[in-house]
Amino acid sequence: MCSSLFHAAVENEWMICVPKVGTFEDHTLTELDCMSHVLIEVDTDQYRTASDKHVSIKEKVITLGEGFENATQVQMLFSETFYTDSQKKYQVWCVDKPLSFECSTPLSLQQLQSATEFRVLTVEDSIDLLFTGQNCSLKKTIDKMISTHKPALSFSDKRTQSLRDQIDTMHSLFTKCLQASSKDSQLKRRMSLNKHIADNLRVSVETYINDKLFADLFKYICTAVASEDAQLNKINRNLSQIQLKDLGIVSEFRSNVPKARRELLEFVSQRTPIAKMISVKKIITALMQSPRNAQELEPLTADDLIPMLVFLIVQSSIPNWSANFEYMTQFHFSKSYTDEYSFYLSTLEAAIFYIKSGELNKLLSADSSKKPIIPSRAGSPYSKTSQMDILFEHIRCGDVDQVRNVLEQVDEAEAERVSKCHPLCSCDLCEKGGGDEDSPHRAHVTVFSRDDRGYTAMHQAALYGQAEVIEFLKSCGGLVSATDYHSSTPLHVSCQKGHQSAVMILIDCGADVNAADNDGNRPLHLATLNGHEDCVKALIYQSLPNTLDINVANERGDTALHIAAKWSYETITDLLLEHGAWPEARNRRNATPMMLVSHGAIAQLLTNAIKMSQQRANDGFIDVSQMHSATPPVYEPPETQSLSLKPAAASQSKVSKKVQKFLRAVSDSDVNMMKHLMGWSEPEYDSSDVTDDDEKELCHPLCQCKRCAPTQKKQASIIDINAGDEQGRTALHIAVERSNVEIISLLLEKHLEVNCKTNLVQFTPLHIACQQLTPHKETVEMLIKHGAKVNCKDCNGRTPLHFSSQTGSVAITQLLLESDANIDVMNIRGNTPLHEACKVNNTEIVHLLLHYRANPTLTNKNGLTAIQLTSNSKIIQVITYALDRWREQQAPAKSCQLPTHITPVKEQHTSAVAKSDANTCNNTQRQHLFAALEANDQQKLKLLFSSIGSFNRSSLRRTITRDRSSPLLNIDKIDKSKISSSKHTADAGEYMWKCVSDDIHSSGQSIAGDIHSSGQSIAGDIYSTGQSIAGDIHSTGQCVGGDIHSTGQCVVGDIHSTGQSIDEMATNSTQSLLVEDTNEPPECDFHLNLHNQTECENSETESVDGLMASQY
Amino acid sequence: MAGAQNRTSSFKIVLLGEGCVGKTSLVLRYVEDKFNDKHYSTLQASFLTKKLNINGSRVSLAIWDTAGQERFHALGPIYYRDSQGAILVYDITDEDSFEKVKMWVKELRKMLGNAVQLCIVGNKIDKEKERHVAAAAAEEYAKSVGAKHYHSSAKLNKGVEELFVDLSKRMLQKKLSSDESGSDRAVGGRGSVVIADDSAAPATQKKGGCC
Repeated sequence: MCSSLFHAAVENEWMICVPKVGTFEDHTLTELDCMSHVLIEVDTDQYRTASDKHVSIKEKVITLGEGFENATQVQMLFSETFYTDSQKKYQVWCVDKPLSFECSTPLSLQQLQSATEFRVLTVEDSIDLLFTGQNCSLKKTIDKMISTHKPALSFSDKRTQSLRDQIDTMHSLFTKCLQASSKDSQLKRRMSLNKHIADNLRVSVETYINDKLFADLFKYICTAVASEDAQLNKINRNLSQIQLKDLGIVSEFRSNVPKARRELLEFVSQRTPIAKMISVKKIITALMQSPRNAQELEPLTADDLIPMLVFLIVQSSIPNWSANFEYMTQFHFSKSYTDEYSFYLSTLEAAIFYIKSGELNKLLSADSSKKPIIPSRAGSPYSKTSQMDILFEHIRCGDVDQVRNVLEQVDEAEAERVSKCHPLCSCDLCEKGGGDEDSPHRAHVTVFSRDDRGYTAMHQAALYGQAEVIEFLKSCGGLVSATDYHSSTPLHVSCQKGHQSAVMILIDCGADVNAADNDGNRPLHLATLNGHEDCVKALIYQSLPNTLDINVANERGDTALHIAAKWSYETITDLLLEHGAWPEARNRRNATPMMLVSHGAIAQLLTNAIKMSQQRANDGFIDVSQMHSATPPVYEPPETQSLSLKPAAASQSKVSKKVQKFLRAVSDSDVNMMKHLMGWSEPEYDSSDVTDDDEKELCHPLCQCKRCAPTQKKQASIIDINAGDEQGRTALHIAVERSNVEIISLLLEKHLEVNCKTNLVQFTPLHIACQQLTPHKETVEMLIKHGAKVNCKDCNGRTPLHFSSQTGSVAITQLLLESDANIDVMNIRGNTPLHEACKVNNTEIVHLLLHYRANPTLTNKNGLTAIQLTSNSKIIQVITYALDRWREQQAPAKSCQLPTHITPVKEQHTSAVAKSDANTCNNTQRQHLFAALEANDQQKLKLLFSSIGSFNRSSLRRTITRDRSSPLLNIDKIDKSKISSSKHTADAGEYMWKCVSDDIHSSGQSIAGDIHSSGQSIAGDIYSTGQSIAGDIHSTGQCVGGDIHSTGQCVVGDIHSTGQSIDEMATNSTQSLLVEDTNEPPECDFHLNLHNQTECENSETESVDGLMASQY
Repeated sequence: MAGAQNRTSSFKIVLLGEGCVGKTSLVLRYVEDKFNDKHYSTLQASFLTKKLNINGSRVSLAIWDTAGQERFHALGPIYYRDSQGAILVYDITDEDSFEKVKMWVKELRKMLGNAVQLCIVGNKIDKEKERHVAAAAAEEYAKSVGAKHYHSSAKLNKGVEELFVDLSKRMLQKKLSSDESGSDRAVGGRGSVVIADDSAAPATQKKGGCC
């Protein structure tokens, strides 16, 4: 019977209603029940059941009518359309409860519960599902897994790991946690009771993990996709003025946007991919709602949806859309979403993609290019609007001549007006000339005319970055400080649009860099907001020093740094920090830039800056640049300190400011700025063309118009290309230091002085090029080609070859040698390049130098030959070989230079010592020592050596000082008197060490000489003062490095020959010393073994102490 | 009747075509059907679902309507990726719209290969008098690219249902022939499986109970 009913229903294509599962029990079904659920259409919306009761259907609601006991409403949930083989079609609808009450005996609660379908969506749900019934063990297991994953999310790994890796590791974490959950017995039991738990298990695990790790994970994603986000942000910010109508959104749907915007706030605060996706769904459904009052309306399609979403994204203040999107798609491991969600996500993706594609910019520019149509369609060519539009159009195109034409009509009109019969004459003649009756001149535009935005011509020029027009307008009296209705100056406008050239011109024309618009935004804010790094640079460098307030806040209390940090503009953040932006500024919401950051690298920058500012709290000025620049610490970067040191002479300071600006541009490798400042914009320009007659009145100080340009260029060349800063560094020095080949070649083309020296240290650019840690062969080549002198000496008598030997660049050394560099040139200390190379144990350079026939027998002022400065056995071998050859060839001539008194070689010494022993100290010193030692008793010598011995054991210092920073500092700094006076105090040794080591650190070589020369006296002192001397010797031994090493030896040697009893001990100590020498560990190891023993401030030395001590 | 294919097959169908060819009305006509064609609960047509049961095989269709405007052309791949069926609609009165269809066919074949079932639909046959695209030529073209050609009129509700049912059948067939073990799409629509199972129970029970 039921079967026949069913067949009849199919046959007649009747509609069948099926109550939702769990709302009835099947065994209670009667035929009547079945018949009540088969609906037969009688009329539109009117149906009768097979049991002949009446229902009506409207908007998916069945209203029970005649024949039913209760006239209730039943919701239709969803339908399934059946197609049979026999071409029949019928619909089955799921309804939320049975239509008739006859069959509805409610289920027990338990049955209902297990039958009720549910979906886990929130974190609370997941925790409920996973850990109900105090399932602590599972929670513990999962939490432990999560916490072990945390380190993988730290920022430090960000460079080495990609997003893909992170997705994979997160996925494996998810898998592990899921496995743990499925194995859990409690959960298993519950799953068997309620199948929906099993269905939702994946979602719950995923939600729980993502929620736990959200902060770190999301930061990681933000960092990984930072560049994409920054790009998107820049586009978004630059589109911020876009309107719904620009996007072609049907007006009826516009009312949906505010609703969706509210949902957007929710979106940001969601922490799991699922919650975020639900939020996206809400946003899009809000957009898709049909407006209440709309009647005959076209259905909403993707063509309407995308623009609305685009609008929403552009207008939103979410700085990490890409990261959000990645999070939703890549970290949703349970893949629980339906097609519906993938549709929402795709729509979002499409909108983001559309924004990124730049189509919108075309749209906007197309919009503005429509404007010129207006004048053509306007009837009267003399109407004010059309003139205005013509002018603005010409400005937009940057056509200076046309702009001039339009503006000059003003003058003509003026002239004609004057020639009128009388001011109000309307005779034919006057009419013709004047146009409009009541105010003839109104028809014309001036540079002061404004359009409907309050823009003047200057604004318009700034808007389109027409630098030439700006200059022309300025020359016509246009105001750079004019403001529009929003109080924006032209500078605001061009900063917003990112026209660097316009920004520079405007600033040069005297635009106020700190002008605020109605929102309190300064030009810097706008340039930052829209991500125009070049404009930020222009603002910073082009403005006169100390005029730009980098820390000023807008209405919301945001500084430029806040904005840069929020929108993930890494380079701008860096730039701002470098120029004194305060990293701890707070906005109206009391947020520091750090709190707004979503990008790891920026967070790092800010953290560093905060550290720096704390360190330098007393300095007043935060010079982060030192931290960033890779300047070798040979001399101090001039940058900011120099500003304050500047002499006050007004005219001179003006010039030097320009010079400073110029030098900064060079140091920032900003070629355009540099060219601009030097007036090199046109390559054909030759300074010799400019004659004195060209001097004439300029339109404005930096006008570049045709008339002024030549004069400008001449003036520009007033900046001496060879001008230097306080330390005498010229542009070339700086460019070389930055290894910027482009700028160097540019500068060299301008015939500047290649061999100019810096003030104090007297470096030529070639010196600098040769001491770069990562030397540029190209740079050196270029310099030499342009006439750099290869044998130029600095204040310490060092030539470039000394430096290249020291830094160990084979290519450069060779280049210098090929360019006839003097190979045996001595510096102030008498060291030849070979000495230098030996000091740093650079075998390759030693080879090279010897190959070019460097003289290995030369002694420095300390009487040491190169071989004595090294402990590297290979080098010793090489030099010994070279020495032999040298002697063979030149023995007769140079024998006088060789030490005649050669101490017998000790057998127990290593071969290295043997070699160096042969060339130890010169005679006089030796004799002095002898004398000193012989004159005193053995007892004290014993004491001395025991202290040397013990010293060796406890804190033998490194024998070779590789102090790169040393040459700069002055020898004068050494407090010799201090040393000598402290010798006599009990703790002199310690203190002395400190002094000397300080000195050594600062003065390197020079001190070596000093100590060495005072060697005799120290020897004497040693003897007389006993214990404290240990410190002395020790410090001597240490600081002089190579030199001292041999000094120590020679002392030992002397001692050896004098006191027999001491002999053994001395030898021992020497030996141990030498052992250390030969096995000298690589420098980097020192740092690892930091172990503070002395008060010595230099960590490098300390670490050696520790290392040595530990070796003993 | 239910047989082995008790599982719901989820298919994604993407509608492509120039604006104004009637993609939207086509899908609305089919999905919203005659029950409530006057009362749209939501007036959106960009994403609609439809459940079918073809000879016992349950099919869940997700129909994605794409943006037709030229400026959104580049967004195509985001929409049509992973789809098993594509309906390429042209207006029989508009030659250009047919050219556009040809372009889409090329793109789809390039990006999705033969995995996607193509339907070329000449819509607006109620305007037969203004026809600009020759039916024979269109049929021939469709054949040449391995697509099926249909004529429809959303306005008169002609050929709409046939189109979707036929496409569903083709997709089912493709799915069965390509991989017995089930493609990844079948696993995909988890959420809908959960819901569908609930209704499945009473539906069969009812029938069973009555038989």
